[in-house]
Amino acid sequence: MILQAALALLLTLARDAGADEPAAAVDNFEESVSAWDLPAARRALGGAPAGARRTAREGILALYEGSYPEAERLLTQALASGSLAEGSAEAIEAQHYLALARGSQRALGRPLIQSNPGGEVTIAFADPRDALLAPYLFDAMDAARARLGAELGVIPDHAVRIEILDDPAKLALVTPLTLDNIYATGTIGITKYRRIVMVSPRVLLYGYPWLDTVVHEYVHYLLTIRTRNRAPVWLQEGLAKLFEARWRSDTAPPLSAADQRLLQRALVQDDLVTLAEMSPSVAMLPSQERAALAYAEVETMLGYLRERRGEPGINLILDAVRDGVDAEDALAGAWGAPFAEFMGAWAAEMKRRTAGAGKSDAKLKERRFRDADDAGSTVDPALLGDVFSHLGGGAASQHARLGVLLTLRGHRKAAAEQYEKARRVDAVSRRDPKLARRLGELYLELDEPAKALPLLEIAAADDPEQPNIAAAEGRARLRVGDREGARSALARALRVNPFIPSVHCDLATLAEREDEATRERSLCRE
Amino acid sequence: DRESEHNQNIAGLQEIRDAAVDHLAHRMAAPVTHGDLATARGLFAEGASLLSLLATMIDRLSVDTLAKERDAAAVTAIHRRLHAVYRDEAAIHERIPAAAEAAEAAILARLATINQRQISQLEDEIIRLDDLVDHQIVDRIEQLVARLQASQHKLLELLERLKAGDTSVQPAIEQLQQRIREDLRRISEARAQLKKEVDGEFLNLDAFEALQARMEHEDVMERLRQGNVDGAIERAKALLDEIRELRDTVQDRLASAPAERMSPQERARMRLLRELSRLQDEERGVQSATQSIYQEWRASVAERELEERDAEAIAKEARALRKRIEGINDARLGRDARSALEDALEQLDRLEGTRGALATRESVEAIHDAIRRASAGARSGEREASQLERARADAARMLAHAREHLPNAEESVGDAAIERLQGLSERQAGLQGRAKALLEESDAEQLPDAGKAALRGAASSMEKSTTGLQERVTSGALRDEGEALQQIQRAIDSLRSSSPPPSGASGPASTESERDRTLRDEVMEAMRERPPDGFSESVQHYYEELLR
Repeated sequence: MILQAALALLLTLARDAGADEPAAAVDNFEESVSAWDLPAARRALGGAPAGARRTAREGILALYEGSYPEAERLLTQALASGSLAEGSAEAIEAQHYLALARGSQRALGRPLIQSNPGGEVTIAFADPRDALLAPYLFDAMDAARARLGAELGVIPDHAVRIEILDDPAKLALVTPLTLDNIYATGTIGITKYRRIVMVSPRVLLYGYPWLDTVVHEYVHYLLTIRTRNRAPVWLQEGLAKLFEARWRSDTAPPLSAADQRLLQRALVQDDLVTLAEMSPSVAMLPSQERAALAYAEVETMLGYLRERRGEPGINLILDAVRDGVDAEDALAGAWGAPFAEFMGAWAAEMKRRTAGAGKSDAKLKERRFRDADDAGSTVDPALLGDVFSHLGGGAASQHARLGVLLTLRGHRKAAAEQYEKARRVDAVSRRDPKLARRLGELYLELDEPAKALPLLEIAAADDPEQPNIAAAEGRARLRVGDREGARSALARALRVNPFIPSVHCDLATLAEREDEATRERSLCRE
Repeated sequence: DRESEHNQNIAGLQEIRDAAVDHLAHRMAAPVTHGDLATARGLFAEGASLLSLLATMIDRLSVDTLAKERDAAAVTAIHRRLHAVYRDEAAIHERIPAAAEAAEAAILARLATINQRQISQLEDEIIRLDDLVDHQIVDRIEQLVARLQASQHKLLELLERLKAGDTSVQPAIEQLQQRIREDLRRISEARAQLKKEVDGEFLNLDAFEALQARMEHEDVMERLRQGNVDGAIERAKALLDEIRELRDTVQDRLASAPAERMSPQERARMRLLRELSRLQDEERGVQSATQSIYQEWRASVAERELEERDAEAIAKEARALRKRIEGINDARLGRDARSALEDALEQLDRLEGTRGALATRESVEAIHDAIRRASAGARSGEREASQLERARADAARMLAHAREHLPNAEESVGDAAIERLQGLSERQAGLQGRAKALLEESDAEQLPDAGKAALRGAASSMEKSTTGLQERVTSGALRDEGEALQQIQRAIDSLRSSSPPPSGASGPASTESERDRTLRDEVMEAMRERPPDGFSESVQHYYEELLR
């Protein structure tokens, strides 16, 4: 969003400098580029006189179209002509886009390009090993295109370009973010210049919810087109959060217990993040906790409006924003009462829904756009106590520890016996997800899937996004004959880390089409 | 050396724990209910081997100066309890002829019962051994982190000097970074030993390349190579914060050791150690901030020269002082005092060739300090002591003159720095108050006399530093802050080197000789018993190992 403001300023300055051009054509070009309406921008260029300014604008268009070498050639030519005065806004703008064109080529190298059969999505992979993602990404985007197209009333008339980078640091080459920014905020995906740029889950230790992330970015993409890039941050982020899982589910997943607790506390203490504070970026809020609260606020605000006013309510807002109405006024219009009244109704309802969550001790999870592999962290769980110290000592903890030590020495049956002893101690231990996971995985190794399954269910309920647990649950279900359940669990694993080789072995067994089975078998490693 | 011997002992304890875990698994898998006498005998022999390993470890820990006395006591207690069950098992085997391939049902039932007892006992002792191993490792991490923290402080200081234009510190920075990397590697190895995560979880190994790139980007040396000294300082400060956080975590872990393994005195020692460490940290913070203002001041006055008249006056005083120093019989002084006098003469040589006001002042300060150190090495009442006392007075006069020619910080570094100095003097006074209060607390009883004296000295130096900061004499404040830091370190060292009393689980032996006697008595008592048929040789070997 900061970039958009900077760009607007640059364009304004450029317009002032290029006073010999028809002002309407320049305005049209700027507005069209900003709204990602590239055919209109190209039409606006048609009337412009030949020269360095026009060449520079053609270079900018080429960048938006994803033709980076062409963009580099045109922008270099415009700058080398000497017609753009040194230090002028036009020259600065051209240099900015030239750097992006060059950075994009460096980041992607010689990319592997793949498109889906309908040509609606094109993916550029910086590293061919990431081509593994393509079929799952195409499937998700197919579903998202259909569902979100209906929901938001917009379907792109061009191929959506998605670039998959193989190093988070490369984001610095394709955006004006610095390396420090990227490492500090853990940025993993961005939608800018009519493309979605993401980091491959392969380069994060446990992966990350990459499919929901790509759809989250796709919502931003659609909203930019739908509102001609006039939606403020809170509206963009609120709808992106609300709809990021729509491709796989009719309803948005409920707020996590930790998010509910944050929201409840902020409502009671009147300490909400204001909509103004969310600008220019939620990522710039002072803490992860405030950022999480901001997301919870805007997601539930728009979710509440949609519950009460339905799909048309959301579209009324988007139409009004596209037409230049202030977003708060647009929301008030869709609600049918002043904005303050909507906020009052929403706050009262959310207080009611989150009642009881204020006392929850659920911990806030890292946002999905953060790098969970926090290399800088020095707090080593091993230093905080023994591996089952959370059980609070006593016989359960003792037997669980013995289970770990026996497992580490390869005595799996004896380990399982000790874990069972630990679980027999009390109800808390029986419900403990960590203990359940250890024992469940052990039973799976001992080829006792029926014993493993209920234990892995306990672990998965506690951490549904942990791909290794989901993969183990999928295997256990497959072995007890629950093929549908297995598919669902393995899909959960895929959504976070599709690089777990064993997942593909089980998917090959489950495949109903021969081409799918062949593909999954080729990825299977035990 | 002592450290590698201690590391071998930690590894040895891990091996014993693993042997005990294997033994437990074997006993759980073979409950000796089906008349399998060979298995029962095998388990019995395995138990003897485990006891033998434990006995050897008791000896090794007894001579390991880096191990705590209570650790050897804990291993002795583990040995004693396992040995008691072993004796009962031996009594059953004794009743079975050596050549027998089967045994009566009643004997087998007794073997099954004793196997259950062994399992229960091993379940307890393995946890104790595991705690012991982890505790040793955490102790080692604590020492490494303390050293790492000291290196990081030094690095920050050198980086500040580099920022002020002193490029001569670059080789020292590289050396220090090398040492820091080495210590980080050691800490990482020790932490890996603590981890008991079971393998099998799939990780994307390609992520390590990205993590490596991130670490390189954030490396202090990398930033220096890019000419980004501010970035390097910022990164070094961030690392220091991380090290502090790590140290707090380690100390928490040490302090939250199971209650039966840590006495109230040990907890008090831990609290005291932690407070001293914090005090030291915060004093370093004050010193670092003072250093920064001092460097600003140095930069602002670096170009000033003395008037010829003033330079001549100081030179005259220097000549007189040299004459006085050369008249002292340095053979009557201690080694440190003699070395201090040499330092003073060296600074006098340096003074002769300079006209710079700053260089003059720093040389005179160094001379004053050297003579103060030399005075401490002379015997009171002897001629050399009074000569040094007069030299000290001369140096003090010279110092007053040298300071006249340069402004103090308040006149040259601006209002912002004056505000910072004011804030620093308040922080310093607060730390002094905390040091004094610490001496009054009941935990301070754990501090040996030398440690108490050092902490009192630290409080006194802090008081002087407070005055120096109030008077804007940053160089003097820096010296006093350095002194305070040294005294706090002495207090920490005295606390670390004082042996803690053994705690509950370590049994009745409270000194090394008592422990030896306890062990010897037990062995002698055990030797009086006749080994079961067929086990004479292994039991004999076991006792030999025990007494070796």
